[in-house]
Amino acid sequence: MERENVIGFFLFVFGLVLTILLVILLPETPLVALSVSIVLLGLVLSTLVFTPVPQRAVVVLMKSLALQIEAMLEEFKPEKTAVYVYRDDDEVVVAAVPIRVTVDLPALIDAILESPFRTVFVSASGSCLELLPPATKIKELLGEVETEDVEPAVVSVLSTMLEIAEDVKVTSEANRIYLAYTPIVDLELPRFNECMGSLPTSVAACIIAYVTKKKVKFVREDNVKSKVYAVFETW
Amino acid sequence: MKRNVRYVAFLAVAMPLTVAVLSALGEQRIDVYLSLFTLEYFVANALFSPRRRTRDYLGIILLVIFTYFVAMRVMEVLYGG
Repeated sequence: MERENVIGFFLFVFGLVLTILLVILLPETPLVALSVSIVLLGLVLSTLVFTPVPQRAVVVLMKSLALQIEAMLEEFKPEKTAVYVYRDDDEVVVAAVPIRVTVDLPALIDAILESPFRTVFVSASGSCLELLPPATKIKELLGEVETEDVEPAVVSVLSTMLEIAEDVKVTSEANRIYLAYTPIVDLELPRFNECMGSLPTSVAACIIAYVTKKKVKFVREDNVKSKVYAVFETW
Repeated sequence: MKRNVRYVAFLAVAMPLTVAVLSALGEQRIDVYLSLFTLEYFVANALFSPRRRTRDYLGIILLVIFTYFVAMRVMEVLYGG
């Protein structure tokens, strides 16, 4: 039981005793209503979860996954940003981080999708890393969430399910998608943040790739005061 | 601010405010107060979707009380005081 729940319980008991006393000794409706509101607030406080332990565990697991990706990116030192694509066969979203592009990027991504999954992909179109981002199993994560529209899905996963960002907004214009949010979780992983976007951006990219079934290229991310603005390009 | 804190803050402001306004208007029926508390509770739930330990039993209780008051009012209208 958390401290807030204990306060809620005491508030509930206090309100209940006060209500009974008021009904017996001073039956004034506004006073009774006020004491009932104290009872309700006490009940509300005692049933809420303020520091959800499983949620924290989920965030720690996601951080661990991001750390592993950071280590791989540190090893290969790619200079281009990731392209998130949904692999229908494996039901996962992969982040393709180009190392060398000989023809053009869409051709390389198409070549990846035509081949089975492998961490280091090399073909005539170039070479790239195929990474499984922290929200790779986004289909399972979304479950029954309405997935026809991008914004509700992104808001639901980032703010409600994972609680890694708040004030999430998504807008799109032509082939660009703009994401704005206030991060709750911040990772000090320079390579990961540079190539894949910060953790909430990466999760959002996975959702967009899954919902739209398009290739989603992480373009850039800007930090303005406490907000993060990310840009994606889709095709 | 976390959404649970905003949720509690919303209710902590809305409920006493309701009592103050209704009492200033001279309202003496307890069912009016409780119905408005129920309404505020569900509005707050919809706005902040707070994270709970259990199912929303309080919501169910409030809804039952609200339904009872509405039923009483309907009966009053249909069959007279």
